[in-house]
Order: sequence, then structure tokens, then C-alpha cells
Amino acid sequence: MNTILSVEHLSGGYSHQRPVLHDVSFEMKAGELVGLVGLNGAGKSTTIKHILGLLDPFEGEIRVKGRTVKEDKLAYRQKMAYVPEMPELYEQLTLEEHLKLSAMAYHMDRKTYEERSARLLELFHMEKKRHWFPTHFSKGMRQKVMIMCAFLIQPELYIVDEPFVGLDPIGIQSLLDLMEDMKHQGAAILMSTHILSTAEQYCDRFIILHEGKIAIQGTIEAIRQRYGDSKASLHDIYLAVARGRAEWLN
Amino acid sequence: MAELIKLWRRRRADNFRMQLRYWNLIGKNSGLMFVLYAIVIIGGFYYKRWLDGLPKDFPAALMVTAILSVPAVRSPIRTFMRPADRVFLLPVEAELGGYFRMSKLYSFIIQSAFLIFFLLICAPLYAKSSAGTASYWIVAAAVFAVKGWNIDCRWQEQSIDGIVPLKMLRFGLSFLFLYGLIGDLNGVVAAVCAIIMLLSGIFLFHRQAGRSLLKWDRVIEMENRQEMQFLRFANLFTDVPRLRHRVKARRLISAFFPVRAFGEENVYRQLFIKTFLRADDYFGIYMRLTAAGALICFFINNGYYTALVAAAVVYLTGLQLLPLWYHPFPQALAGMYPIAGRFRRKSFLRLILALLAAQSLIMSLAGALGVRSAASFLLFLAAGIGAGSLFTLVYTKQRLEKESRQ
Repeated sequence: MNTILSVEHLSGGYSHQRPVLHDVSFEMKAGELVGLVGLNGAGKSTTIKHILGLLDPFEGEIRVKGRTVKEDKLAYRQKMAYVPEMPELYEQLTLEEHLKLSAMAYHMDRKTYEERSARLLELFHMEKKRHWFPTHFSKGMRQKVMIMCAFLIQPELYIVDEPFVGLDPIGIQSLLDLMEDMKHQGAAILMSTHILSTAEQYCDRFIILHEGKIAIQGTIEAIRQRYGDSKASLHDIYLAVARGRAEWLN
Repeated sequence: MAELIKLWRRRRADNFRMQLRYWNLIGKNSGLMFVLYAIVIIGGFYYKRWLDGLPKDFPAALMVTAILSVPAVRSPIRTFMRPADRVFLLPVEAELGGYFRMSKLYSFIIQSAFLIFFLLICAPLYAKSSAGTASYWIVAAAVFAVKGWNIDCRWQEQSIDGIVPLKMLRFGLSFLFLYGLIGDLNGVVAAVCAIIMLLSGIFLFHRQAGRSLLKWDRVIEMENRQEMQFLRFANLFTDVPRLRHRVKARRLISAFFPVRAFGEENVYRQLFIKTFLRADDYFGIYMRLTAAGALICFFINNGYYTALVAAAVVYLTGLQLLPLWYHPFPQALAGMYPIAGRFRRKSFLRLILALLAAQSLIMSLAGALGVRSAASFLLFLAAGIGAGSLFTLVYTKQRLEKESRQ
């Protein structure tokens, strides 16, 4: 299978004196949904910022379809969509204008835009709010707008940061269904989350970050096997790592 | 109780300091004092001329009553309440009596100061009205009494639902009472009105309010409205951070600028147009400057020098529009768009140039109308568009390119 994202020996963070990430390496292939799991401050958001090309790696490199952001920024960005943890919207644009601008920025034709946006608006029950401004949106609705903007462009790589908080149950289910769909169409999705039960159910693989390093990564079965309990949930394993009971890792 | 009074005093002092800071800025860098001075002198001159030319049957009394009753009846109460008070002060509502009494007294004093201003303006007009029987001092006293009654009733309204008829009643009674004193109505009318006001205050406003609960949302909304009023005024002269990034829908004018063509080169064009129209006050500043420029060009009539005025206004407007470039766009959206920076610069420059050219056109039309010459229209237009092009395509362009290289 072809590799979409490769992170090799990444060390990075906000200041060289205090790097947040230490030698992080992983790969994502087409059609994979990977869960990025870790405590607050473990380095999830920093990893995401490096992948988005918002931070410069201190060491190592990140490639999306074989290219680094330095080599061709526009082509690099063209291949990914990002759903941030805190929704950021244009306060001066309506919902529909958000979608249109995304479509235009990612070179979509009008017909494709009409089809996809109609489907997304219906999926998230926002058809009636097309002409609304973000001021009138709740946190959950703002999150839905971000999700719609990302899934409208159907890139090869999705970076989704803690998407479930504030979403209503229909929103959560629609998002999960969308991610399944995109996966089957060959997209790679990196999702950071604290909702472990959902992650366990939907993700193909997991990366457990702890204090800026990858504590363990792999399928849930592989992780269980190493943990030595074939019935352990992701929750149990994650707590063990977070509480420092990690002798089984060595 | 004493704590709450202390809280009120602290909030009033904070508000006073905040306003003082803005007044300081307004006084220092806006030339407002000069304009006020000019208005007083010129206004006084014309006011006197107008008074001298008044016909005998001019309804001066009616006019004085109208001018005085509006500010006397309008009685918003400054409570200095914050939205968070709904949570933190709600439990001590029963003990807030002193706090609100202070608020009412404060509002009465501040609004009375405005009333003095209106009384001064009306004094010469009152002297003109032959019907005026009462001494102006009595009128002034009556106006303050009306204000006090309105403040008290207005506070009672904060607990009452369906206050529109009450407001109409307040205005009607206040107007009649004042007209009874000022105008040619019988003094008995004034006396009857005064009695009705007293009785309705007790038996209508206070009794109804006593039966219902204080509507906190309304009290906070009233406070917020007044604070915003001042901030919006200050914002005309200086930058008020709290008013930044407010958005108006402006559906009518936005409808003229829909997304026409899909394509990456249009993303920032659309973004800047919509930001210009809806966010902050870019559009308002542009319209005000254009209107002011057009008026000046129309009225000054000093031949070819109007061209210089047009060029200067275009330059000033351009400077006021530059912050649009720095308007923050969300990182998760605009920051991720795979679009080259040159499209962003090009869209911005084109919008600014178009705006300045449109402004030049309007001012040139006004200027040419003023001197009634088609040739000067072309001259003014050339001056305006010339200044606009220099500002946009030379100055701004270089500045943006330099910044993008850094």
C-alpha cells in the first residue's frame, strides 16, 4: 500500500532549549485511520502542528506523499485538510461562504462543490443555517462547520484534532461515518482524541504518546499482546502507560 | 450591604477612569475641541439670526416643550452591572436595594447635566414665546422633577412585562405637564398632570413592580447598551479594542458581491470584499470619508484646488483601508489554503484601487456639480485616480512585497 504520511525521527517543539517531541517516527498508509492518544501535554498538538507545517522540525523530517513542506508548500498543503481542536471561523462570513472559499482554495469545480456541500449540510443538519454567521453558532455547530470545510475538499490526508467535544450525537455519528467513507476511498486519517472507547472501536491503529515519545504503536491486538492481557481495553492500557506502569514496554 | 455599595463605588470609579482615558485621547488627537468651539460660535451666530427672523405666530412653546421632554423622559439607568452578575450577584438580590439606589441617583445627576445643556439652548427661544407665563427657573425645576419621576418609573419598569404602554404614558404625562407650564395651556393642566404622575407612580409603576421579579437580563442589557454607546462614540476618534471584530451582516450590499467565479485567484478577493463590507468599521470609514470629501468638493468651489482636496481625501482613505490587509483570518482555514501569497496581495491591491477610484468618481462628480464644469470633472477625476494609483500600485505594493520577503 502506498504511504501518505511519513514522520521520521521527528524532534521538535516551540523552543530548541526545551523540545517537546523526541525522535517520533511513524507512517500512515492510504485507507488507514490512526488514533493519536496521549495525556494533556504529551505532544499530540505539537505533532499535529509539525505535520501541518506550522512548526519547523529540529531534527528529522515529515513527508506527505514523498514531499516535505519546504520542497513545495502549496502541493503539500493541497493534500491535507485540518480540523482543529478549537473551531476557528471567519466571523464575517456566512456558513455557505466558508464552504465556497474552501472549495475555491482547493481547486474544486462548482458542480462538485454543489454536490458535496449539499450532502454535508444535510448530514450535519445545517441546511437551514447556510446564510448564518458564526456569531449565532454554538461550539458544536462551529465544530461542524470546520468538519464540513475539511471533508468538502476530500484530500488524501486528514488531520483531525479532538473532534468530538461539543458535537451532538448525530454530529459524532456523521463524522464517524464520513471518516469510514473517506478511508474506503483511500484517504489516511490521523485523529487525536481522548474519547478512547470510540477510538478503540473505529481506529485501525494507535499511537500512544507519552512525554513527547511514542510509548507504543500498532493495532489494538498487537498492543494488547505486548501488554499481556488479551481482554484489556485501550483505556486500561493507556492508563497504565500514563501512570508509569510501563515495564512491559521494554 | 456595605460591601455592595463599595462594589458600586469601585465600578463607578473604574468606569470614570475608562471614560477619562478615552476623553483624553479624543481631546488630544482628533481636533474635536476645535470643531466644538467652531460649532458653538457659528451655531450661536446662526441661532440668533434665526431667532430674530421668527414670525410672531411661531409655536415656540411647543418646540421648547418638545426639545426638553425628550431628554427628560429618556431615562436609562446606569447600574454598572456585568453579565457575570447574573451568576454572582443573583443570590444577594434582596440586598441590592442600596446598590440600585446609588445607580438611580447617579443616572439622575448625569442626565440632569445634559438637561442643563438643553435648558441653556432653549432659554432664548423660551424668552421669544410670548405665551410663557412661568419664570424659566420654574420650568427648569419642573424639568428636573420630570427627570426624577421618569428615572424612578423607568426603574420600576425593569420588573414589569409589557412596558410599551407604560413608556407611552410616561412620555404623554411628562409632555403635557411641561407644556402646561411652558405653553399656553392653563396652569391647572399642569397641576392635574402632576397629580396623575404622582398617583400613577405609586399605584401603577410601584405596585405592579412590587408584584413581579426584577428582570436581570434587561438590566444588564440596558447597562451594556449605554456602555456601548459611549464606546461607539469614542470609536469615531480612536481605536476601541472592545469594539474590534464586530460583524454586521449587510445583506443588501453583500448581495452585490456573491462568489461569481470559482478559482484560487478569487478566494482572497472574496475574502477581502466581505471583510471590508462586514467586519469592523472599514465600510463605515470609507463611506464617511467619501461623503465628507464629496461635500467639501461640492461646497468649496475654489477652482482647480479642488483637485488637491480630492487627491488628499483619496490618500487619507487609502491609509484608513490599509488595516484591512492585517485583518486576522483563522489559521485553520486561511492559514492552510494552498494559495500563493501573490494572489492575496493582488486581490488586496485591486480592491483598494477599485475603492479609491470609485471614491474619486463620486468626489469629482460632486466637485464638478459645484462649479458646473465638465472639464473640471476630468481634472478632479484624474487627480483622484492618480493619487489612488500612486498610493496603491507604488506605495502599498512595495510595502506588501517588502513584508512578504521578511
